[in-house]
Amino acid sequence: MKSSFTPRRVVLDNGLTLIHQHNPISPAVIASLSVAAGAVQEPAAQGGLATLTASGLRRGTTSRSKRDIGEVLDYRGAHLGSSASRHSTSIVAKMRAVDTADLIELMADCVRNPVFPAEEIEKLRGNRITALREDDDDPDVMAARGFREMLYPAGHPYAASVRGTIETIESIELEQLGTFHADHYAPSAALLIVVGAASWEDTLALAQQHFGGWNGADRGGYRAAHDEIPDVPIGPAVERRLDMPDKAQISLLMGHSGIRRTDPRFYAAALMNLVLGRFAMGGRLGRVVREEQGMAYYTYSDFGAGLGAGPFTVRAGVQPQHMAAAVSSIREQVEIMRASGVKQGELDDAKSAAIGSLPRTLESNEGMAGFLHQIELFDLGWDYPDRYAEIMSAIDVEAASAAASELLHPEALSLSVAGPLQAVSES
Amino acid sequence: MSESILTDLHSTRLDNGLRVLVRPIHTAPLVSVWCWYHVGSKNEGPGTTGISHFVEHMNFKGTEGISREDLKVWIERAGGTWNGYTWLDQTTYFETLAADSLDLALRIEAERMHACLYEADEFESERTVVLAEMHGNRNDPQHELDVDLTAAAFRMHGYGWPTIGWQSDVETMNRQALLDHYRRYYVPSNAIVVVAGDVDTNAAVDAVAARFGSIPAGDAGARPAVVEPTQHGERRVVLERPGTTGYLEVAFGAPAFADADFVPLLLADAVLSGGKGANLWSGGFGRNARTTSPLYTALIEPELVVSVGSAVLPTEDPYLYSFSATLRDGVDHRRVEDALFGCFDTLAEDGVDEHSLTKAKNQVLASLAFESEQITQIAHQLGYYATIASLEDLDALPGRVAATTVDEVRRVAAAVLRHDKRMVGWVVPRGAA
Repeated sequence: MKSSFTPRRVVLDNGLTLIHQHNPISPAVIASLSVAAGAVQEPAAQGGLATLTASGLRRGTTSRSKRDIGEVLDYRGAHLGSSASRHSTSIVAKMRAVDTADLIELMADCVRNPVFPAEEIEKLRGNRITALREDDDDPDVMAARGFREMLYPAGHPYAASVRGTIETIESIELEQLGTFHADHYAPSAALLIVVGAASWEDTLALAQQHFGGWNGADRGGYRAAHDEIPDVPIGPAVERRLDMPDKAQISLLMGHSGIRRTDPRFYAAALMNLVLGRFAMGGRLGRVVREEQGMAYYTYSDFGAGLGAGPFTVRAGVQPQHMAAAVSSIREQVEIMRASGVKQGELDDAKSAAIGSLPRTLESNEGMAGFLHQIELFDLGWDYPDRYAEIMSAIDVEAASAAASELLHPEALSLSVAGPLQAVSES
Repeated sequence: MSESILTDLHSTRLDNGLRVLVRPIHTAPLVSVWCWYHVGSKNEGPGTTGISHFVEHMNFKGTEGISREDLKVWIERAGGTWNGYTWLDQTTYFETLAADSLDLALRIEAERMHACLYEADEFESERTVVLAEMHGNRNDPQHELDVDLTAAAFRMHGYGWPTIGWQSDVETMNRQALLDHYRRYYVPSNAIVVVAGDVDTNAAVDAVAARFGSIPAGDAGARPAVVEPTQHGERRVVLERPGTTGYLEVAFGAPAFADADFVPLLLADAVLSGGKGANLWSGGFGRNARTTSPLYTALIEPELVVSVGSAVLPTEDPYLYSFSATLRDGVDHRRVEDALFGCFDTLAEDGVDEHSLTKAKNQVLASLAFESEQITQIAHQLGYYATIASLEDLDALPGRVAATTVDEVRRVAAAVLRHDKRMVGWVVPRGAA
């Protein structure tokens, strides 16, 4: 790790942060620009605005039509994607190393000078609506939607779908895309990460050339530009059931509110969660529910710890006749973990897996870019890859078990299911 | 690509027939081990469809020397990842883990080759898991359509059924049939071991020999060479089911990877919808047509569909060239079909200009570069092509792409994209959810 992890970082005069990591394995480069402009910043009545704006970036600039943008990409076999998540908008270019300069120029043009042509935005709107209708037919999406609506009170930034609803997408006005862009896209709220077969000197020169002249309100740097997310207390367990009679399998989601990435218990919780629902294909949950009882095709658990406290969740895909047993079995495993914690051998395995898997995470350009983004967003420091092993090694059985007893609440596990529920009552 | 995928590759064969490929790559302290078996769903038949996939599942359930739990635990302890898949022509298993754990991966794969347990109770519980996987797939209407359309395309050849098999076969399959399949095909003379990563070549070959050398060669036996009868006219499939969205899929018979027409077809596809490389993972329907492509212009631009993608997959025998589209709300399937067929006819009749072909070549070559970023991908490509064709064919791919002419693309497009050779499938949603 020490030999190959050599990132360079600089903040340009306009506040844009640039991070670079060289990777010579293949003649390819990835450039990823993140801006603190996510769904949490959009008004509730304009759900999906951040997403629509992000997609609109590639639909035309002051000097290029959508076709012109496509021609730059298609002639080089490069890819340019743009999308919004809860907290940020990302525009990502993937190209051959020889095309790096052309793609960074194009990327900057799309981010800085979009015009959101009316005709193109109407097409995007139509695409979004079809995608939302497809969501209505997808048990995974519907179970997640039901869960989110139960867990977060209306008005909480995590309550709504990042994609919006058919109603909000239909009601968004064209000018609102330009306003969202003007209000939230700024160099001091942006982070550019470049990884691959491109040199630091070339990358810095390209960033200065194409992003150096970008002006905007001072948002205080990429990290500072993100909004505070209010915590949600652990509430009583509730249930949401959606019958989708034509489906063959039920998507099941159980959980309650969890922790932030900055919570001091984050690493202990991560190791405990590996034991509960990750290690060796689903941890204890996988062993009991999938392997021993054969009640699910998949099952795993997760702490969605980010800028805000994401939920602790358990997911499973089950056949209708196994649903009740799977739910009670999952609840039982969470209860056992809460009450009895982890065993030394389990913790050793989890640590070894967590530490040993880092080189794989950093092997691909995308993996490295994501890791660098985490380091910057959560101020983890350049020694983080080395420190990571020390942090994990230092967590003992008591700390991991304390995370279980403090952070797992089996009595408060809400349940959201979507799928052929009629078949449950018939079986 | 700046260098050949075969750079520093060492290829050898043990006395028992096991082929061994080692490629040292020292960019990260990792090694990827893949074990390939030349058996897939095409080697099945009525009553046993899905048996290769079921066997793959059972081969994660423990061996004489390694318990079911330890198979996973040991790899993950070494910071590793592991998996396997069954496809039309092959079944494969891999581990990517810390380079100093190479022998662990080899031990697991050697045991998997000859010492899996197939315990009766494990067999029954795994049947439930396989059926659950099948049911999960069936939640997706596009998957359902693809299964039906593929079945319509093949009347004789084993490419016609899904790799997971037909439900009644999976429900009734017995343990002995699985064991017979396992013992016949999981033998050194029918397998290839690939090692790529931070290893010394000679040491890696020795390590493979030490683990696999004593396994008897075996004989997977002859397989019938099934030739699909000539198709004389269009075939249609219509799926009516509750849902929200209409889908269209169109497929044509396509040449096998080793056929001289494969690369021109790969480029014809790149012209029509965008280049994708030649990897099971990078091709396919997940990706939308490129914005300057004829399919985008004819289907997405006029708002007939939300997305349209296509796939040419490298296979051992002739398979399919497929197109899949998600329809806009309220758009008639026939209109989408006509627009799509118009693109086919234009390419088949008018061919392609030099600019479009250069663009297509750049896209395919860029995709090939993107596919060699990780040792896991590199090891996969080596084993995949060694199983269904030859490493020479894989190595020649970039050169063949670069050398393909506009005339070849036009000739192959005209031969493949024929009205009387197509399969057309619709998903018609009944009632909005």
